[in-house]
Order: sequence, then structure tokens, then C-alpha cells
Amino acid sequence: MNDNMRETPSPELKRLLYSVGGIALTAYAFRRRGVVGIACGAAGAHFLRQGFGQIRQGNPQKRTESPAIAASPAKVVGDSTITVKGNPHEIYAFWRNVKNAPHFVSFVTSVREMSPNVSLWKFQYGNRPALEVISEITQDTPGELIGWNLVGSPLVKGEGIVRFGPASLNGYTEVRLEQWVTPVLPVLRSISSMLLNRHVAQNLRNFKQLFETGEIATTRGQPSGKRSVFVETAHKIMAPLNREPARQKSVGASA
Amino acid sequence: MKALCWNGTNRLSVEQVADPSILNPKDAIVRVKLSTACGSDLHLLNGFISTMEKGDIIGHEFMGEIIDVGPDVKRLRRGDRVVVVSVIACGSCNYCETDQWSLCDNTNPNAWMLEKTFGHSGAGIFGYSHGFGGYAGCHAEYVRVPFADNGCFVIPDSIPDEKALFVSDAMPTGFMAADLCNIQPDDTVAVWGCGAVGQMAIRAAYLLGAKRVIAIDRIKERLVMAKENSGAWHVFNYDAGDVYEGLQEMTGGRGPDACIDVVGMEAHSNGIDYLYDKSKQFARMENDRPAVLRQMIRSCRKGGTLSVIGVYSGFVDKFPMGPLMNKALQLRTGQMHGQKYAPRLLEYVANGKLDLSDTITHRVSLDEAPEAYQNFKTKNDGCIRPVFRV
Repeated sequence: MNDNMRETPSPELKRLLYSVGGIALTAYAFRRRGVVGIACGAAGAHFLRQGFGQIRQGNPQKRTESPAIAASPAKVVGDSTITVKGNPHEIYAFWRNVKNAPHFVSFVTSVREMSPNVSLWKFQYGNRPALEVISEITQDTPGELIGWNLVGSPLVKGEGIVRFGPASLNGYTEVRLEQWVTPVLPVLRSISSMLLNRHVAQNLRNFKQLFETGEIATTRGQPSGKRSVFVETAHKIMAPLNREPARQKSVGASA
Repeated sequence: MKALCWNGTNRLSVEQVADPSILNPKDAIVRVKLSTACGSDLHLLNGFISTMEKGDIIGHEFMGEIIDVGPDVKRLRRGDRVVVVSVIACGSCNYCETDQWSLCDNTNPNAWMLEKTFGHSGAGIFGYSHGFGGYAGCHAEYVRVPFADNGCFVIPDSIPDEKALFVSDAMPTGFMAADLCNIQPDDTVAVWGCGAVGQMAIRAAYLLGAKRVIAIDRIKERLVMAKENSGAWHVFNYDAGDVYEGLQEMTGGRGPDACIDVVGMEAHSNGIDYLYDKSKQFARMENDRPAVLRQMIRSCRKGGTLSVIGVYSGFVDKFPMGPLMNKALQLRTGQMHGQKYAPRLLEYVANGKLDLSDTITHRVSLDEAPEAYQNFKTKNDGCIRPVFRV
């Protein structure tokens, strides 16, 4: 074993030690309470972030090589890839038409084009007040990629890029979506990352379903027996994630 | 409408719920005429399938009449008498286009749940947990059928309701189990489990050219049916002897060419391994009891085929990977691709080559479904399949 290996523990070992230490400190903080408890809790949270943070933020090898991200560690990244039936140009065209977005992007209720590259997006979660965000397209290569920035809202700051490339399966296209947001509170970074990854993956699944079949699978509005209070509450919270039924003609390319 | 709801482990009740409606353009609404309990429902009843929620309507095997269609339904009309395949498939994705319908990419609204454990999600299934889509099941007066053009098959007038019913699930499941074995003319096939799907697997194995089929179970009525109705060459009661020894004796020490598991995750066996698996499953330290898998791997001939169509939900313990590898066994499995097999099966039913209605032992109303399920679970009163008249 050489000296370097002895002096520098592997990243896996570091993460393990941070995680174990974080769990121990947090558990102690709950028992101890008071000022010492708060201090131990804060230290535990820091250790847990060090231990689990990298895991929750996804695999670094999958990440984009965007210099903006490297220079902005406060941002969290969500990324996912899906294979869609069709050629890159027609799939690009469907995505590029921002009027299609409310059909597959979660929480988006409407999109209004203000100019060829600028549009106003209205987001709404359940019955909460709507949030309006301006999206500006910053990169646009037909059949290859679309990049954008979200501006105009202090609550939603972010950017994204979607890339289209031929898949190994003949007649199919790989669609890779990467999105970055800056959380309002840095302490929400881990949970933001988890939610963003889920959001990105779900939007891609919605897009694929819409493009290939003309509709998005849903069970929202179907009958059920009497739910427990717990399940009822969970359904209310999760309802916006389950697509609103279309009740209309298909909108996808296959329609 | 009335519907049979899951309210927790071993708790079913018939409740009044709202009628379903068209939610997506390719939906249809079916008025259910007949539905039936499937062995895989017992895993829900016994609490071994996660992501069930109190109030879920269960059931996935049914036939009935189309009473409403969405604007994009092309092949069906109101009044059509149809049998509905239990797996929901879009018909457009790569998997559907290659006849692997139960692997459909586009019909599970809760795909993220299965991706967490399975890596990828398969198709949605009626009434079979939120992991498989959370779709309302068929033990109800009406059912919403997504992608109805792909899942509903019009029943020829010559086929009565009870004969058509099983084309929904039991027949394609049993048929696919045999189909996965790539049966050759001189083959001996062993089938573990002689419920309706097992009976179908036996009949399908013969239809696909098997020379001999051996049926394995411990319930007398089922073994009698396997022998007399399905034509099993030999039946084996595993309570009366060791399965491996029995199969070797019947096959000249060679072992069956193909083995079919129609039992799945709640397999019974005799011996210490059963107690071990039962304890671990009870403590939720393993999801599935792989007793049949172990027996199949041990008993099958070298280079033979294992077809697993019984439902497994997660992880198993003490899986004999060594024998599987060293005996060069081929393991083939999957949820059934009903849309692939339904037209062929309806043809077989119409020309009298296949009929599974003899497995119906109880005909009851939907109101009596909770008791019927209990009977089905305990196998009391010779129960093989209860059918619910809705």
C-alpha cells in the first residue's frame, strides 16, 4: 500500500463514517435536547448531508458538464433519460411547441408565447395560488437540443436542457432531460434534489406516454371504497402528481 | 355501484362506491357480467403485496358488455360482449409492438413505485395494488377499461359467458406458461399447482405437443380434475412423498424436460424449509416462499426449461443458483401477455379445443364474494374457482 492510499480514506469510507456519525449525533440530539441537543442535531445534520448528500443528488458520472453547475454548488440537479418511439426531429418538434407542455409537465396549467423564444408559464399545485414564470430559450438546435432559463420569479430560479439523440433501438430516440434549480433555502437542498429528480423522471414518462399513445395514464377520479384518514390525506397531497384526466381528444403524435 | 373492496389483510367487504367514468380518450366502460377470483388475489388478501390501500377495489378477471366508449376508441361499440384482458397495455410502445404486452411502458401511472424495487415498471393491472397502477378492479358492477381497443376482445356469439370469462386471465396465463417451455414432441412437462391456471397449463402443454404431463398438488379434487379433465399422465400428491424422488422415478431418473411453476410466492411444502420460509415471510424478512422454485431446479433434467408464471413479489432466500447454473437450466418467466394470446384462445374455445369452465365450482353473487374468497383461500368445499354474477 502506498502512502497516498494510507493518508486519504476512500470517498465510500468517508461517506460511511459521516453517515454513521450523523445518525449517532442526531439520535443523541433527540434524547439530549436543550442547547447541547441543538448543537449535536446541527452537527448530525451536517454529517448526514455529507454522508448521504452525494447519493441523493444522483450519480455524478451522469451529470452534465455544464460549467454553470460546477461554478454554482448551491444548485440542485435533476436528470433522467427515456427512450421514445420516433425520430429526433419529430420528437424535438413536439417538445419545442411550448403549447404541448401543459399536457405533460407536472403543475403547468398554461403556457403563453410572448415571442419565439420567450413564454409565460403558469404553475399551480392543487388549489394553491398560481405562480407565473418566464422561460427564455437560450439554446435551440433542431433535432438535437433545447436549453432554457427560468426568470422572473424569486421562488423559481432554474435552467434546463433537453437533448435528443438516436437510440440503439432502430426508430427510437433517447431523450435526456436535465434541470437545475436554486432552492430558496439551502437547507432544503437534499429534499429539493430528490423531488426534482422525481419531477424530471415523471415529466419524461408523461412525455413518452403522450407522444407514443396520445394520452397519459391516470387513475385520478376513479371510484374506490372508503379510504382511511391517512390514505385520504396522502391522496390529497399526491393528487397533483397524478395527471388530471384528459377527457378530451388525444394530443400526442400518435393521435 | 357495488364493489368488492380490500380493507386490510383478510378483510374484504362489498361497498357502495361511485360509478366509473371515461377519464381518457381511449377508455371504455364495461358493465361486468361475470368476474372470478384468481389465485394471485390471495397474495393481496394475505397482505403480501405492498402498496395496497384500504378501499381499493380488487379483481382482474372479467367479461361483460361495453356501455360507453371514449372518443378515440375505434374497434368497439356500445353493446359489444367482451372479455377483458387483466393486463392494461397501450399497443404503441416497443414492448406492445413486439407482443410483450405485460411489459408495456405506458400504462402504469405509478411506474416510479416499481422502478424503485424492480428497476423498471411493467404494465398496469386491474385491481392489483398501486405499484401495478392502482387501477380499480373488476369485482364491481362497472369497470373503466383504459386503452380499451387493445384490452377488450369481442366474444363470438357461439361462446357462452362462462367459457369466455377465463380468456381474461387464467387461460392466457396457463397457455403462456406452457408456451415458455418451447415444448418438443417427446417432452415430459411437470406442472406445480392444479388450480384453474394449472389445469390450463396442463391442457396447453398437450395442445403444444407435450407427450406427458405430470401434475403436482396436494388437494385431492384438483388432482382428480388434473387427471380426469385435463388428461395429466400422472398426478403427484406432495403430501404423500418427495417431489424430486417421485419425478425421477416417473422419468427414468432423467427429470422432466420442462417444469412449470403456477404457484408463486406462497408455496407450501413439507419439511424444515417450509417452516424456515414461512417464518421469514411472516417476519417480512423475505417477500416470497420459493419452495416450488427449489423443487423445480432440483428436479428438472439437465438443460431443461423452467417456466415461472406464479406471481412473485420481491426477494427470495436460499435460491439454488448453483444447480441452476451447473445444470444449464433455462429460466423463463413473466406476467402473461394476454393481448397476444386472447384471439388464439377465443378460437380454441369456439372450436372446442379448450374450455376451462369446468373449473368453476361455485357460482355466487357479488354480495357473497367475501365469503367466497375465504372459501377459495382455505380451499374448503372443493373450491377451485368461484365466479361472481354481477
